[in-house]
Amino acid sequence: MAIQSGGWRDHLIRAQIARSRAFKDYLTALRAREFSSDLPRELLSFYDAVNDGIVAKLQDLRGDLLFRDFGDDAAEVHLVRYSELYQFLYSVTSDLEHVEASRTIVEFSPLLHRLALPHSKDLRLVLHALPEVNYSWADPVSLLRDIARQLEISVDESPPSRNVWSIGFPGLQPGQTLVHTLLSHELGHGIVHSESSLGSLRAQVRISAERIKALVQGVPPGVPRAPVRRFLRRYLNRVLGKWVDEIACDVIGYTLTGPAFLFASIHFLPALAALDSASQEYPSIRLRLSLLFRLLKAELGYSPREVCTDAQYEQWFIKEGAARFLGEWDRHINADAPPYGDNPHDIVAEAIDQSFEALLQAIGSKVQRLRRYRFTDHRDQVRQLVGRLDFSVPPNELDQPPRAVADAVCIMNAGWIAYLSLVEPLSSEHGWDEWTTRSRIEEWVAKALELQEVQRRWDEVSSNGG
Amino acid sequence: MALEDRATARLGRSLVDGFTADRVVRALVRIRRERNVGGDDRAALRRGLDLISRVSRGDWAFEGQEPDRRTLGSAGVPGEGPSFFLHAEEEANVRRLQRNLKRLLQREIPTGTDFAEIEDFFVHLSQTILKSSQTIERRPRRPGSVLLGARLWRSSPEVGETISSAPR
Repeated sequence: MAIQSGGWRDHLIRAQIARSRAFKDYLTALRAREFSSDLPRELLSFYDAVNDGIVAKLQDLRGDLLFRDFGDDAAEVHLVRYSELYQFLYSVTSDLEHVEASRTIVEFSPLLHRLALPHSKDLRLVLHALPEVNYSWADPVSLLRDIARQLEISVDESPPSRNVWSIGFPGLQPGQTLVHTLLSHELGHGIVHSESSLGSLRAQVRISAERIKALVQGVPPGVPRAPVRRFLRRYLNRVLGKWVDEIACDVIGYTLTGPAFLFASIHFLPALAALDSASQEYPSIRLRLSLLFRLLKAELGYSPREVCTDAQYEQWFIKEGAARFLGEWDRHINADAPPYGDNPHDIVAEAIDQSFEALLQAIGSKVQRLRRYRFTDHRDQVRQLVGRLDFSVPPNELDQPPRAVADAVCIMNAGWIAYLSLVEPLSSEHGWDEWTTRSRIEEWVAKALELQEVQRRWDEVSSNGG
Repeated sequence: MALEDRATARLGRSLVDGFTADRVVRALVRIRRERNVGGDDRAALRRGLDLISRVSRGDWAFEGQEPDRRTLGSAGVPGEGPSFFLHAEEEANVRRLQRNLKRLLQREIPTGTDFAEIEDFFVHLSQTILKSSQTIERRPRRPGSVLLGARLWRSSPEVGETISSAPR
């Protein structure tokens, strides 16, 4: 026996094996459930195969002469890492508890597939509710395959063989259809992750050497400058990399869903954090919204940095309420922005702000296959759909000839314009309170997404000869 | 924070990196014992080279550190005190590590000190990645996934304990 029986290594191995048994019981319990598609069951089988591989690996470690020669520190870290691995396995498996249709925004699944398809032909999606007010993206199968390779566990042959993206949405808000426009940001994470060349995006942004110099000069006398400068450069580059990824996802979200993405971002993000607070991982909400406003203004033909009036927005957004909402937030985000300060996060924000056009071009050239939604090309369609909502009718079809199925992204944009403009007239017409009216608009949009999907499929079947 | 590339995905990537570092340690243990470099070892060493370059770019180095004027001038100034990263990020050290790892890839085993430095680097990196992954915020979930403190296991190796009665 290579590892002393009863020693701490043996003890820890046995503990991890016990953990794997508990995990297997959990998998067995989940398998007894009914799922609306085959994918959750395939994933459960895959996680089971990974778990079996881990158990075999742990058992092998007991007699493993090389592991015996690991120092105590290395052995301890390796064994404790299996606890982290089970944290991960429990997390991705528990997502499958929340994929049932009744708790999931089923209307979005086909739409998200269609939006991502030009980029990822083999994609399969798991949409699941999260026990938090947040959206998320993960690629659990690829990650586990890579972990398994490092552990020399063979699961490469186990299905699912195709690309699986697991996308989470706030479980407390299943009926809030319009905010779920933000799911297109999560598709962005999948695209950024699969496009390794997107890593070169950060090269588009240059951090000012002068600003770093000024910051270094500000440290108290007696503190050595060279290590501070080196530390700062590394820190700024790291932050830049993370922020550029997030901003690329926002750009992809806007590219796929147009102004609806900006409406949803304004609606969702400021409720969660202060406008100017940033972290190593995420740029401030002000920076993100400000860049989205620039995308909108460029599309509408305005100067990207000008603060537009409500009247300018009303030329495009059909109804006064939506235009006023944009005008107010444009002023709040852009006119009231504080100047960039002498701190690392502001230095990165300023660099991104100044290099945004170059960054945008680079992102655009990498995601050319995506279908770009141009609001300006679809304004007439959106106007018709807003008209339908004005008559309390789900906006799944165009009224004017040729009568046709509405585009799903146009439905989302029309839904937002109605949500921001029609609450008062609809409330007074139907005698509803404001909350009821808002809920009804969300329901009509959800119904329209469902109906347009049915009509689309029917058209496909009909055109294929039935 | 909103719209995140979720914590679970970060944990997953951390596990890939951590087990990769462990695999490199394992390859180095084998090379030290056998005095030769096998095919599997070379695959692990190639991934090790990638980890070194990521350390030099600042990966894992800044968990919980957000420098501003105040912290840059305080006792937490980088450059003070012993640190795995300060050693690892020094360009001369990075270059030496990369050079010696490349020699290993060409089946040439470095001297005792150089070899020990590579081993030491990957053991420390493996520990650092674990510590860093433990800072990732987790959602509450099932008791089966509660993290064990290995130090406690080391100091109280009582035979026959089950996971549920283990010291936490």
